[in-house]
Amino acid sequence: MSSPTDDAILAVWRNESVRLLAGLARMTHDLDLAEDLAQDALVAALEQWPREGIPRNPGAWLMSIAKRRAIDGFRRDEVLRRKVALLGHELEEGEMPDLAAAVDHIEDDVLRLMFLSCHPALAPDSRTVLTLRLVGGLTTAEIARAYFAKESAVGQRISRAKRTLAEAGASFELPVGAERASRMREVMQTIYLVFNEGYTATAGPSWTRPELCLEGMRLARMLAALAPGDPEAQALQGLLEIQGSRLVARADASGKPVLLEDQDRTRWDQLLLRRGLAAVERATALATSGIPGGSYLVQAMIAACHGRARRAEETDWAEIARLYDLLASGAPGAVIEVNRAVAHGRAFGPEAGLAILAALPDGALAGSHLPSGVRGDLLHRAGRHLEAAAAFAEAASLTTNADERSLLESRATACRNHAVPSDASVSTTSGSGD
Amino acid sequence: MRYMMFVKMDPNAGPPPAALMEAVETEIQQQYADGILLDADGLGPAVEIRLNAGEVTHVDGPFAEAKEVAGGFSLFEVRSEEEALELGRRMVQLHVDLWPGQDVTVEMRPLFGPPAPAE
Repeated sequence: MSSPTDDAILAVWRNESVRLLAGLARMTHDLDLAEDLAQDALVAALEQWPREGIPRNPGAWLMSIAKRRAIDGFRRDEVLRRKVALLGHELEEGEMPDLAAAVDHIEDDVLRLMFLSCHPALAPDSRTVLTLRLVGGLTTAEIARAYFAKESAVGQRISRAKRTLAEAGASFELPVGAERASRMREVMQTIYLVFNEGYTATAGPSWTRPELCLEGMRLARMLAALAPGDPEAQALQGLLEIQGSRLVARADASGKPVLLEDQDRTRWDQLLLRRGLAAVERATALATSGIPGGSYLVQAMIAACHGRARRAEETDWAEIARLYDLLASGAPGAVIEVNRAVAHGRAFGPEAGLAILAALPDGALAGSHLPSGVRGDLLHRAGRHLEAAAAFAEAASLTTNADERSLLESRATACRNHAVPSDASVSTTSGSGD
Repeated sequence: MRYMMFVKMDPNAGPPPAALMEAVETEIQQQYADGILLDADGLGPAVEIRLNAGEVTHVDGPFAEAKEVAGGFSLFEVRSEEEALELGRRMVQLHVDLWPGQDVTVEMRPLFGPPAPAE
């Protein structure tokens, strides 16, 4: 076989890095050290593999190099040795673990790493960046590109996050009981944030950033595989895959957003949709067998309602309204109320939706374009065009996304002109099923 | 980017050794856990509907002249061509290790994906 290029070696590395890092983190209880050791192994691979070819089991090869470096380092560095007293025991076991036979163990390691990257001591933004780096295997440069951020800023955020974890004495053990459940929610929320940042970009010129959506879906699949009995983990995978199936239909040729009801549904990615619906089925089956589902399951069921409708007119809005009522009773919040208003407006007439919006407490979602955008849509449907135009104009002045602004402005103009009939709903960035 | 993998070999090779089947199963489980395997299935014998010099014929497989047939496919979502080729390399390596003497061809085909929206 021809000698591998650096790109090929980096691709192998990326496939293996999460398991390598997860194992090293368990052994060293030190994320920085684990990352250094893993990087050392990559450097060794870049030196040796072009000459010798990629080894049969690259994961085991990289792990053995990293362990050897660790043992060398510990022999040289007494301070380090004392600092991480636990390490000696595992490293001196000598025998390389059979990676293929130790899959359960490795899965636990990866889950541990996910819990650590999404630790409650970290701010949500730091959780997403650290998760993409440690669990996603992305380089700092790739993360910076995805977030339109400076590489140095991302690097600093990662270092700070690792320092915060060390200072907080973050445990490398798997949480149990009630703590496990709450930590799972943090992991899921982080994955959702990664996906959602790509789905409706809050910064930068484009409406979506598919690469972040792809990473979010991949992380959700990993979590669903690690927690096969958890309905929420299955539901999150389903939710993201169903939403992901619409990615290519969400923008027109000029990159402008196309809203759910206007999308050409033949362009939805049928493979992702089918996978997503199957994941929702799994989640529902788990939930009916006694393991309670939560808000991701309800959101996924809403997304599935949209996904099953071959034409927008076939959407079961009464069912979606019922699901939003369920969501609102479990996790009340202004964003959910706005989405509930959309659903009730569709299912039972615009006045029903407007009534829900009117009940929002003063100042709820201040600064967000969401309530005024939805109000505009409902007013438009109720034939109150001038009021609708004012609401759309207000929404346009509040959004930070350029594409969304121009969409809202054009709806305001259309309402002012009374002339252009529109059946589009405003976009909602969470929970509306799109 | 999506890639479809076909593992092709001599149709008369006989059943693969149990150790290979097991190793492939482990590999598939790993791809599943990594979140990159979207779909996989086995493929039955082909029926070809051929248009040749204006004449349409149906021909049932297996075809005597076939040197290689695909027994199944896997569909992956990967981040680079190199990642896809590494998946192919691993599959070949499993055959090197666990089915000595048996040739195999692993084909990795990029999917074009959905067409861009019309202007």
